[in-house]
Amino acid sequence: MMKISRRDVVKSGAGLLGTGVLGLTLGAQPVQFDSNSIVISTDFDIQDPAIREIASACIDTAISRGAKYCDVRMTFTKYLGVGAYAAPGLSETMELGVRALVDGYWGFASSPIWSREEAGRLGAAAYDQATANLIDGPRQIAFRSAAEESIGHWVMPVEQDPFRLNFNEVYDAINGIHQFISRLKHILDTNRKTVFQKQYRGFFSSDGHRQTQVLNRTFASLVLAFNNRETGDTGGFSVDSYRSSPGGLETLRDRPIREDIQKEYDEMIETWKLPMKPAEIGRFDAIVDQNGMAKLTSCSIGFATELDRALGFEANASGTSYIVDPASMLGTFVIGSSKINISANRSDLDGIATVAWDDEGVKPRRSQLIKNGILNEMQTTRELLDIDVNGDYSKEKYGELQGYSVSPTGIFAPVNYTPNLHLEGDASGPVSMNELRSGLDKGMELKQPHISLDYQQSTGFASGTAYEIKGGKRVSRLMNAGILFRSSEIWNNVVDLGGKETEMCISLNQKKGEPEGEAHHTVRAVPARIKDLTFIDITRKA
Amino acid sequence: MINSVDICENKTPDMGRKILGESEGKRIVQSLLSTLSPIPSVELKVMSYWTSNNKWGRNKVTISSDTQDVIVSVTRNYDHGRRTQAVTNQIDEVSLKGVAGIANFYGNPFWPAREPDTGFSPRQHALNEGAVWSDLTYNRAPGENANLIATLTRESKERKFLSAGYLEAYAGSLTWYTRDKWGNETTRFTKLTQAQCSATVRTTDGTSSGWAGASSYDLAHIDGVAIAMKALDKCVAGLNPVRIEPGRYTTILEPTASAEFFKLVVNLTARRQPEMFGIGNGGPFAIGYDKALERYRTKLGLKVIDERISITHDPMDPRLGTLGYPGLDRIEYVVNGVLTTLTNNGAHASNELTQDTIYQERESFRVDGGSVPIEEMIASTKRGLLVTRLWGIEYVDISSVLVTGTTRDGLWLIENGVITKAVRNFRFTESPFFVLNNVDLIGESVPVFNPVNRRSVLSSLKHFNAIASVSVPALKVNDFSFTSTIDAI
Repeated sequence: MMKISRRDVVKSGAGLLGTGVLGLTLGAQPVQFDSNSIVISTDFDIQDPAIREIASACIDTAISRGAKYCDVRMTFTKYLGVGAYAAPGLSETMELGVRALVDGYWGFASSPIWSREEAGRLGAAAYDQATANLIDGPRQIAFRSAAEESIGHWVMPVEQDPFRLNFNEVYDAINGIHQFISRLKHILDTNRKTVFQKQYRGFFSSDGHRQTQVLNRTFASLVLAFNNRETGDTGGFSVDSYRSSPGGLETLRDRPIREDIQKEYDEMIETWKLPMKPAEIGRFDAIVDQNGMAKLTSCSIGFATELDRALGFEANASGTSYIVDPASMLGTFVIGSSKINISANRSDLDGIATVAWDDEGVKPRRSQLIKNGILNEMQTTRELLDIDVNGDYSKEKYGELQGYSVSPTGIFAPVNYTPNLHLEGDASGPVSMNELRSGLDKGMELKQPHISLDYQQSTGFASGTAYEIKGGKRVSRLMNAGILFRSSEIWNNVVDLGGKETEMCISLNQKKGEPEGEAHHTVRAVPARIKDLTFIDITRKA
Repeated sequence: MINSVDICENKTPDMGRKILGESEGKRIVQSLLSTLSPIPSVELKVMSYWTSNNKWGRNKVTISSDTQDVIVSVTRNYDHGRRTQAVTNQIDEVSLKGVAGIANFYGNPFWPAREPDTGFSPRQHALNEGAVWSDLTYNRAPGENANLIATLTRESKERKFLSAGYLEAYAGSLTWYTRDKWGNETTRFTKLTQAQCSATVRTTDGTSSGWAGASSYDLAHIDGVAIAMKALDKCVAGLNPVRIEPGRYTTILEPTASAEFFKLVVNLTARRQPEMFGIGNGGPFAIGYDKALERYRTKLGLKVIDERISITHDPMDPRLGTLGYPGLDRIEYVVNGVLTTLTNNGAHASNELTQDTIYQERESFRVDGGSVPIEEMIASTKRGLLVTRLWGIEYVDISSVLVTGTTRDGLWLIENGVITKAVRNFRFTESPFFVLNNVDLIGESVPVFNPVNRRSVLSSLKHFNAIASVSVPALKVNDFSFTSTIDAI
């Protein structure tokens, strides 16, 4: 049995073996050791012809058996997890996934083995899975062609590649941040994650696609848990600049993380100085910060505009949408006030969902989901672009290809995940949170709320640190305050949006599908002033 | 230098077998051990799985899949809690040597201590096997799934409802090697199968929804047609829901709904180490630090929920269908309402000199306490609500274990012993301890649908969760707190 190992690929490509100090290999990667350091070289060549041959073997098998179309995803993913106080962990996996279309039915097969024999087996298995469903005869299925830019290679820019740096340097950079935190009084604990990823991706199809890309990404989050043992005050703030982004160590080292930690710390100390009041129940105008607006944008617009949800294909899994008849609601359904413009993309260089091509070979384009408060576009994939409300073929129902299909690794069949989103600011809006706050004479403020919506994305619940605002200033903190809202109402009640200067990126994750996969996206958002928000005491029972 | 072609020809497993067998697993373990430096405590896991699954939506199959994967994990435990992990899904010699080499490096004493030295061997336990294997599940062919789905969707299609669902057959194997700091070695092998089927049926205008599902180690125990009909019946029965006032209601929680509260209780039995998290963060079963005894006191031995209810974890119970991992003896969390076990990690077990009842991935459990049929619960209710399922549960106050969430896929009003109308869904705010101390009637324990994500590389570098199967009864409880109505069906 012939198998292509990563080492073979390196041998035929960059030929880097033998450069290691000690020469141990983790697959193709020369792992260099000395007494106290590690460098994991990553010159894996995803463009190697041997990889194409494996993909071709999948496609040839499926097509020769009678598949109308076949595509292949090959992923090689390395994760380097860096704990603050624990030793690191390294994970690397390879996946090969094959999807075949036979008489209107999809079959999929995947495994961790990259070999020609396994490719043949997977091509046949994908075909068999599809044909097994032919019991009611052939059917027409919507699957839009994606011909443009079918061949290419792209590398996501990385300045400080954690897989190339001496690991002690990586560790010091991360640990230094946590050492800084440990010197701050009242911080009881931090909930943090720092995982670097290098993912080599290949997409090949029977339509002639041959696209390879290398994604260099950092998945990170940091939440500070405060506890003043003298007064009993507690609280938690996330440090939003410590977030998932394209790139390597520079995404954390070159950002003002320490300043932002200090800022959140100072804000918590100032918060504790405010008198504590019970949550006031009723309708109030309120300021919601960028973090809250990003989460609201993600779940009430991002998830809701996924066409597979709206049509009910995800009804048994991640849920449905309040956009119940998307075809007829496009261009007419008022989601928000005329100030609301929300676009989607997978090209923002600050966006964790950014790629050169999606997992159906489509070059992503920017789409305007909400235009002046009106539903303008749904998110679609090649599978869903030409489909009607009954799930039947209907040519050009939902416009142009967008490139929002995602397969987290080759093990998973692709589905539509929410891309990067952009809640656009008001050109003449306030330039800072203080300015936005100063425009509110009496009301509330929610900072970094946790937001959850029902499975139809229609009714929401949010809680977080809440303040009472009087005369444009925080005058008290509110105990156990939260809000209830309807997606259709909250966007209509936005009366003021921050200006471009107030934009902030927040990275979020999304779980979806059966079997469940996970993908990430970034929301670029501005703060907002929203009228008539329904405040509740979240701990009050009936 | 090793020839990679030789490796592949000789050592690459036959994935046509779907999962790795015992001999293959042990070969991989031996290969890893030959490279690992002689640091005493090490844990090696060789996991493999296969799944065949079908997904459908709007009464049509959307995709059918066949997937296999392997996970090799090397975890090294050092003094003072230093722990390192390296993971791969490649099992050729080069990759195995590489992953062992990474684990060797990460044992460098440069890394700071994470937790107190346990001086305790945490995982010297028998690995149960054999109770959760079904040839029928393992040999499931794609065509059989397709035929079943055609049957499942036919009724919905004919009656102009929309069915979406998921059917999966699954098999997994685990070869698990441990060596503690005193050099005691154990190698264990186990395998399991699991099957799940669930369906959601909705009206075309999206105004009513019904759900049903089941999971078991054996596909023969899953009646797909019954699931489809139950989901359809619930959808039909949920048509034209009326809006009623939020408030406190006598509430019948079907097993899938009651399971959510039991899961919260079981999760809370994981005792967090006071040494790590400080006073006041020990969870609801912690009482506090006793200065006289110089130790943390808990509610062990005290009544915490209704005295008719017992909660146990038994890896050998085929009705649960759980993998033996972590392979411990039967645990009784709660016996007749009294808290009898708090699960620990190794460090705490050492300090407290308790049984090492580690909590990691112990997601399966069984609840017993009654045998009252749901029909009898309904008949005995003057005015109340019948709940199919809960969703989106999250804490609003951790110290009092107060949670919020919503009902979904069927909520009905009961008046004078009969179901009179479908009701708009509610958001609820409630504590599992309030619920489980206000129980009126308890049903027979039945397995409920409870799939878990098996693979999550990014979140924790831990790839393989135990299969979580739970068996719980329906409950009739008093004064359940529904706080607001929601729009979703």
